[in-house]
Amino acid sequence: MAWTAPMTAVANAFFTSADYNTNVRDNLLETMPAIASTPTAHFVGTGPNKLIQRTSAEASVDTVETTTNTSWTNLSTNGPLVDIVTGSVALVCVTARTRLTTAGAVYASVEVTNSSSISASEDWAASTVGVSSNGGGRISNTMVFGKSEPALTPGTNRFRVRYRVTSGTGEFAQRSILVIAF
Amino acid sequence: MAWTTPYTWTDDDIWDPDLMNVQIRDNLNETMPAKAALPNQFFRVNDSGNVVGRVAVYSDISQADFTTASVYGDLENRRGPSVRLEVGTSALVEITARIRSTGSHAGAVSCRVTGSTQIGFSDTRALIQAGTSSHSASHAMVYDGLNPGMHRFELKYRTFSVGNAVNFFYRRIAVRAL
Repeated sequence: MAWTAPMTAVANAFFTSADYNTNVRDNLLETMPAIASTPTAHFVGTGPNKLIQRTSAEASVDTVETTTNTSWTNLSTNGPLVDIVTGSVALVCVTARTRLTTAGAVYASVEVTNSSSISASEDWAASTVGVSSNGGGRISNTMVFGKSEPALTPGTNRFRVRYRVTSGTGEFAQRSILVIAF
Repeated sequence: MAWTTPYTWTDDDIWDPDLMNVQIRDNLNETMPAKAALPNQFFRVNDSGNVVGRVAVYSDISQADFTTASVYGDLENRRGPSVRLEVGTSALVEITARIRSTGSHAGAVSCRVTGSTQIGFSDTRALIQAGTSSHSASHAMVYDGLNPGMHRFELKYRTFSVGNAVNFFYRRIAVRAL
């Protein structure tokens, strides 16, 4: 089944069951209510006359954890991470409450694995620079993979938050990731 | 009216008004053009076979203002910004502000939800910045488990050091109903 440009009725023409099934049944089956199955899902065009249902996913870790690693790493609690089916585009928002007690910078970025292979990068990281006291700051960075960032390979992708510092001990709390699949 | 799985017609079927109305009229009335009512509306799944139109709204206040209170509340001169809209069971909320402390202490902007659901302020749902340099930043998160209906999303503020001011500029709240 697929969408067919609706036929134009002509006076005195026969309207067969095949005409009905192609022009009415099959076309209705390509509309949103026919495809809708997952509450809060949204719709994305995948090509001419073709829709697909996509979802959003969010995960968070509240535990305060630290790292001194200057290369991308996991904290004691892995993630947060989400597994979600995407096309080649996804909007991703990384949030973290960060703190440094010595000069330097802290970064919370996203790596994408499974169908895709995209490493974490400062280019798409939530970051703060400099010493911060009183619990530090809570910030987000929103990025679009497949537009401003590298394209995804369609399929089930894992989006995981990874961390690093430039020096000293970076503290991370209230970490979350939100992915809206397109 | 509701969506019905389209009927497969055979040559000997008798096509009557009831069948026509259920299969064509009622099904077409469940599609996006029939439901589209507002500019900039987008559509999401409400339930199997049912889509609903949703909107995104925002409100901002550019004037500088401040607080010295360590519990969440309004700024000294003006409350808000806030938005009011109908949502389903979840909403994407983005808070943006430029924050400048008068010392090393932090300031925070959180969102209170009222209406069909009540959700109070929390540092775990807040934009937080510290230091005497101005920092512009955003914080976005999904509010889940809402009771479908009308809600108000309003920004409130606090300092992490009671009696010591934090200044807030260019405050914005953007909410996308899900």
